[in-house]
Amino acid sequence: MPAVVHLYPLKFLNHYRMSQLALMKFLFTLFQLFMSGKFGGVVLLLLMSSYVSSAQSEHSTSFQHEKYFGYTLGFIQIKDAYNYGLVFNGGQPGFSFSQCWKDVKSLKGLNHEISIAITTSRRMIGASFRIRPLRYFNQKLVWESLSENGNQQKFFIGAYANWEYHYQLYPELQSGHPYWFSYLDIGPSVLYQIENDKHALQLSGFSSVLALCSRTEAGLHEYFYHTSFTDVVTDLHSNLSIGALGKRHMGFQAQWNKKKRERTRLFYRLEMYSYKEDPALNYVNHSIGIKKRLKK
Amino acid sequence: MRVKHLLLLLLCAVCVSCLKEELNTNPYKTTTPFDLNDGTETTSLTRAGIDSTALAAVYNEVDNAEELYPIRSLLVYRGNKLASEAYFQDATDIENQRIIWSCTKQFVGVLVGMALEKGLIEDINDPISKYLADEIKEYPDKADIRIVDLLNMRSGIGFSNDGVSGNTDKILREQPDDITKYILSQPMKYEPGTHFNYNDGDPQLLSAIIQKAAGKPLDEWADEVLFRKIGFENYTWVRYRDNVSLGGFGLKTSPRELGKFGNLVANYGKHNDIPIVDSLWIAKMWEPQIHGFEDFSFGYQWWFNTKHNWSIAWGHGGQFIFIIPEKDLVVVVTSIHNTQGNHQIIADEMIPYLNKITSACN
Repeated sequence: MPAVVHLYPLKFLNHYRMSQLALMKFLFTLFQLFMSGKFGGVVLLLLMSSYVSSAQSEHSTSFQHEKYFGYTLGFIQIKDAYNYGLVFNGGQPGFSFSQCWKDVKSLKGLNHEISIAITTSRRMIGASFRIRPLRYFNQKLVWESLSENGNQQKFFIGAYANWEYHYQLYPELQSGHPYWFSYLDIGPSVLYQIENDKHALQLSGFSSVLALCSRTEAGLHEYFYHTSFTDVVTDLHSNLSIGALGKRHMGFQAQWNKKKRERTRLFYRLEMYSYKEDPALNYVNHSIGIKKRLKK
Repeated sequence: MRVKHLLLLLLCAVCVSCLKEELNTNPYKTTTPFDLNDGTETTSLTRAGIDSTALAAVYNEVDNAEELYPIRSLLVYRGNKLASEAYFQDATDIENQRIIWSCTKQFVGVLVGMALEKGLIEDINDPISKYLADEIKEYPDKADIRIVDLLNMRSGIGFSNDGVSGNTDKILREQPDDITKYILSQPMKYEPGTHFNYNDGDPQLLSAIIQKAAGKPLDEWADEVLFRKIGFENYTWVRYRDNVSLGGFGLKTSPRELGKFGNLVANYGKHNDIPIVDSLWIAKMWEPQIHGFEDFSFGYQWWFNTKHNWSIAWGHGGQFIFIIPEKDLVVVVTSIHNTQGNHQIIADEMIPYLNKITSACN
């Protein structure tokens, strides 16, 4: 039985009313930029980064600020209709930089990640690059307890916004034509945390409720093709479409660390992406990783 | 205990999330030909004199052979009639138009013969300057190239099909404004008629020559003089953006339509006993002229297997029409079209299976 239990109603929404208004304006600007065609992605990246960093600086004095550098080793599976039903499997090493702001009742964070994978299917080689310019989450404490044996448990609920690009290359299957898919998704996220004087364990999950996705317009069954490497930058949002059920991004993460070595954290992460429209896509990423908190 | 539970949870997550390959989304259930009323005459294996058990074993082998996974269809015709067909990956391929790459060259080969017969081309020994006079004015170093040099890929033009730096890639990306001038602007690598260079440029020039002589794109002319007459209807022949029909590649069609074309050629240009193409041209087209590829030789845009006496239409990735006169057979094979290197099906790989098919015929 827990010795102490606190329940926090979701009052934080009032507190952030102004920020939400700003966010709405910002999202509308983004939408206009998306529709403006080439280089929208680059502009979007700059704007979103500046928005989030300025938003964080407002609270930086009252929040405990932590920075982490992480290394992940992933196992990915890509099943893309462009590849005729073949499933490409491979290892995906990557690097991440994340920041976390926390106080007694809330937790906010930013994550940037880059990884590269070499995948194979039937001795065919492919390459996959993943760039996550930004992932932002904001969670509020809604429940906590302290048990007699010293275990402290916390439960957070919040929302996340994620933005990432995937770039694929299959020289032996698609004559080296490049393919990409991108996700800009938002949805709820939860985090359960249990810790005592020896260990700390965090289990977290999220699922998108709305996603803006882009897929290469490859023209696979045509002779002529016009995609090139530079399109990854210029045309990433050329066929951007919005969806909920047909465009899903879900994930789960378990993170563990010893209290004595609090700066070092181990984690396992599972992320799944699906794009149901033709050409359909499924992407699964299992990663184990280690991240190290940087000294202030 | 908690750690064990966590590991179990992770294991479950891994298992649940594993993606399964689905190469065959809608695979074949029978090899008995469907009656589509598309102009393809069908027959039973018994009537065709083919051992059904032996042939079924071949289909099974092809379906299960690891290295043949790109194959999409296998059709066997005997005596001009379709005796068996299977679509390994998607049953709708029976009607789907798909890229056949260089099998287009074999169509061009036949059409050059028809252009000759109809007087659009006077002689295959004519220099191309006779037909592409304006273009050759700009590129006089190409004046001595003859039509026959284009037919057997000995123009001497340094055109390369290979890689992203190759000339074909530029065409596929539609970079040049004028496809004919782009090919002619490439430097001469050899004297015309001296060196074989398998390339997409030479048949493209043949397309341009017929277009000039006919006053209409090759695809339009082909439809009038050939395709309508043999019921070849389910196709798209792609033109370059300057309105010249592609010649080294460019046709999209179904396996059954390839069968119609294959049977026409197998019958020395006759369709339902009506002569459509000059039989002498077909014989000339198959005459091995370029050797040096082990058992294969090249004629006028057609491949020939000298060991087995088979004529072959051969497109990148594994698109084939095998004409096997010894048993009155035509075999059509189509495959995933964009595979590269060891992953594309080459004619050599098909030979053991074709031998088994011929053995199954009485």
